[in-house]
Amino acid sequence: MPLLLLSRLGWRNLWRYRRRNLMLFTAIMVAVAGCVLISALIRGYQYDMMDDAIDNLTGNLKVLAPGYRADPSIARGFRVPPAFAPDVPPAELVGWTERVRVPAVVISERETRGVTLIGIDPAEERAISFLGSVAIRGDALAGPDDGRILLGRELARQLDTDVGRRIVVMTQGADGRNREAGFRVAGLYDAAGTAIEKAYAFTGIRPFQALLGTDAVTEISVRLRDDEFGPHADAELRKDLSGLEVLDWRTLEPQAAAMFQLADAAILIWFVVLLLALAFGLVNTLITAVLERVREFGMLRALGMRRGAIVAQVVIESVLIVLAGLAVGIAVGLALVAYFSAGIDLSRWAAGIELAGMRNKLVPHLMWHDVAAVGSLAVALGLFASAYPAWRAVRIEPLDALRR
Amino acid sequence: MPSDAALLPAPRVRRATGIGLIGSIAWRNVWRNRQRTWLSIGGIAFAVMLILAARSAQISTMAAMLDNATRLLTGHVQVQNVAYADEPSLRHAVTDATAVARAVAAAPHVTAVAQRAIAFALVSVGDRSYGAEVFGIDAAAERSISSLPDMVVEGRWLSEPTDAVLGSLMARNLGAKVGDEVVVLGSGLDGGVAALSLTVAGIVETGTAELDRALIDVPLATFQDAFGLGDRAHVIVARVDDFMNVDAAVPGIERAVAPIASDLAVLSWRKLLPELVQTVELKGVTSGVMFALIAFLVTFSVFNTFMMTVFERTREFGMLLAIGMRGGGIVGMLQIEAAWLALLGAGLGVALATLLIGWLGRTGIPLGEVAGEMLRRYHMPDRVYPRIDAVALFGVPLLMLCATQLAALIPSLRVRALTPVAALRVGA
Amino acid sequence: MSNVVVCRGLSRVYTSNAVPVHALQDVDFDVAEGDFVSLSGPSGSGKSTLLNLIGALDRPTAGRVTVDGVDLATLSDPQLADLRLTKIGFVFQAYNLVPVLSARENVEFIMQLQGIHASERRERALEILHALGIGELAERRPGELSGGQQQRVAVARAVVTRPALLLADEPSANLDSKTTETLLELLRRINLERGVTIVTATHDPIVIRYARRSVQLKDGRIVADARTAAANA
Repeated sequence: MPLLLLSRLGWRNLWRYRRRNLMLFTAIMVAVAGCVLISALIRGYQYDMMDDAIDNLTGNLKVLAPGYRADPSIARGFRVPPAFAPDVPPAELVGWTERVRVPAVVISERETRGVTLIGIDPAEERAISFLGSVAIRGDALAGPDDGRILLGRELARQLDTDVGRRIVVMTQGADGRNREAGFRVAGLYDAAGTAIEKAYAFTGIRPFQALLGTDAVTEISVRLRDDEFGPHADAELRKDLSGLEVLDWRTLEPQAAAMFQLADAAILIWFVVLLLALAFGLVNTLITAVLERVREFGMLRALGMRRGAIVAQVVIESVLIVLAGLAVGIAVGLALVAYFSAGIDLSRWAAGIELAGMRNKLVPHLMWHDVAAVGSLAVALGLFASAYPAWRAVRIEPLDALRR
Repeated sequence: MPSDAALLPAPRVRRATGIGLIGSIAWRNVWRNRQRTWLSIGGIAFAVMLILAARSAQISTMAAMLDNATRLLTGHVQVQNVAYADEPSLRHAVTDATAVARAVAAAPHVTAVAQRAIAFALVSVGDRSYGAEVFGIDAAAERSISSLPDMVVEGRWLSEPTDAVLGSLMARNLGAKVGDEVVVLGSGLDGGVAALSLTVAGIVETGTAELDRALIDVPLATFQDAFGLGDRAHVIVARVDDFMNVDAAVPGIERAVAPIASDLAVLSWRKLLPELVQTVELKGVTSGVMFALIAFLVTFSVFNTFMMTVFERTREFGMLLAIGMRGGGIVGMLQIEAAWLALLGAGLGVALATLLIGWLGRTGIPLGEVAGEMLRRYHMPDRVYPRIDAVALFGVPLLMLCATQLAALIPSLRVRALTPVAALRVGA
Repeated sequence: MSNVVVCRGLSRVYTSNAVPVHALQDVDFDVAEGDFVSLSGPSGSGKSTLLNLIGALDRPTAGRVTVDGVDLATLSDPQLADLRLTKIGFVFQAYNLVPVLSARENVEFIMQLQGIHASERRERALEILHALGIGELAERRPGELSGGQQQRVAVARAVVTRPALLLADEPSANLDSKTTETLLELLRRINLERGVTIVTATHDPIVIRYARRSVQLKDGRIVADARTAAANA
């Protein structure tokens, strides 16, 4: 029987059992909307992980000298070829910078603390890392020649120092001997987590290099517009800078990378679970729906319609409901994602999330292939849940069916 | 209106309202359509089993993670000077540390106690120096408190007064090996220089880079001498018999130390590892939302099915109303039917969850594949042995019972609104 | 002899559709105690409506119904339910019995609602089933009974509480003529032997033949009301 005719029959039959189909539709809609929202939330969390790792001075890619990761001192620095720039198309490149990053001891009048002191070019830095978005009390560093120091707010509190005061920094120079110098505190930055504020201090890269007695850097960090471009950029960098390691954020921040991967599995699991929860009610309803129409099917078969055509009609009806529920469910899910697009404020439930170094806003991130996954799963469920009972119903002989 | 003679008053009827009557009919009604009933029970069982098992595994995993994390360094409970948490400086110490430690050891639930003195100092080997947090510890006591002594990868744990134990990355950065001389230079309590000349006795590796890079342990007595601390320490670390008893132990410890000093704070791991607390709470909230969604879907399925069932039996209800049953009686019967579904479903779900968790509890969930790198960072053990969470065991079925009762109420109340005539006419 | 049922000026209008339906218009109707009355007429004549009003299943738009001396208008819904329980027995065209109860349990059910003790219930249920010739079907469920057997169980249930009135709405509609005869024979017996007043709405000529008074309705009014041949037999 032609598909179009079956579809038309199916469509009209949907309206026969309005109440029941409406309930089916609602259940499917709720499940689908839930799946969409959950996938968006988990993806949001997942991409936050990635962004945090990248923001956290990692960048999408980093160039390091071999051995630096195990022993992060200036002795493991490298010289950058003059006029070097990463061979990445401007459309893909957000920015890049060179840094000198070494462990140091910061001594105030009252206290002593260990930090990681980073010599930076402030303008380049702002474009590619979290420094671009922090609030600063006092001054930001003026340029790569600024010899002052920028401290985290929490660190300054622990050191009992403030903007404009002097502190002493002790670190190991390129020759292996300790260097000591006084720095004036330019400003205090307020980052997303106190862990960062306690860990990092910043100063202009050139005077820092002078202090250390070298013109080497310890790292080059590259920020891309789309992480997907990473492997290309990686290849280019390796070509230009032989002898150095090129690492992506996944290698540098393996915990974040692990959580990133877990998210994919988590989403799939939740989809299956939610749709299973839906399945029980769906199957129940569809079985009842089909059994009710045994007489009708008997009549159709007596008239000469083939078994397969009846089954096809029933399946088409179910698929139509599923598609309707899917469409509206996705729309509702999208609406919810849009509603929460400013971010869900997590601090209400877990006060002090800042201490964990996590953002306290979860911004949902919808990916279309997740939506497609939900759609396929739902349609598959509808197909299976309706085909089986329909097949059972048409196996009865027409006369028996009519007599019921 | 014309009045007839002797209009008699309405008859009074002694009614049987017993559950027994309605209950037995309800039970039989549940099994009228086996397939439908089993599907409904299946759905409820699925939800209950999933939520119960997931929650139990989650709680067990979290507990294991927290236990591990606290084992490493912070311990279950710490006694500190009140000012130390905000400003961890040398002078914010616990005076009469030995007495305090003894008092803590005597408190209920406490199984082990150790003192630690902490200062920031410069650590040098040869001409290489690093800033580090130096811990003066009681080597023997630490064995019962911390897992650090088990993480020695080279050499041995502290035993001699001039021993020092370094973190693996610290040792590498300093180029230090077992047997090398290490000098610690810091600022003493009186403001003078505190200097220690020690020998590297062993190297530990925790797997957490931040710790391995900054860790150095020296004997407590040596430390106190060099820094002029006398009988002072910065934290008194206590271990409790069971991780779940920590919150109960804190008041006992507070009472024990109160007579000795008034400037002490008793902090449990919740305050010491706030980022872990937040992670746990957040995970609890997000999974709570997911579970709620599952429960809702299953309840909606039950509601759906119930609506269908009620609709199909409308004529039957009309008949019951006609022969004199009250609307409320029919509602009661339907609610009982729904309750049976919930009880059977929840019962099955609990049984399945218990089996699953019981089996997993013996073999353990291997986290290695799943967590990989996260093991180290989040202090997770290799395998987790989940236990059933008692609260969830009762809470989840109860929740499903209430949810299904509510779900059945809506169709039931529609029955209540029926008039016998309307009901009898349905489908005619 | 008193009247079990007294109706005055009874009207019932249904307004559920756009056009109001005057199912019953200003009907006066009495039923004497112990009588066997049939209400007949084409569909839409109002016979079922009249039966429902007498049976306290529905309320009139206008007029008054008195059953066994009680003015139905004075009763609340729960009180109407009590009345139906104790004073009126029903037999419908179909769906008479609770599907999950056996024949005996169905008959006992109505006594359970009245709070009658278990031993008495059981005795009376079995007694009535035997008296109506279906004692051996006592433990069967409706699904295991034929249409005619189900109807007879329904009659048993309807009379076991000794009601003042037995109302039957199209009791033979689903039965063949032989089974109908058996059923009506049963009704006649309980009418004569136990003095149960019977009113039945029907279009089945067999049923009308067994009744002793035939009332015909058309368009909501009574158009004929006469004793039948059975009355004189």
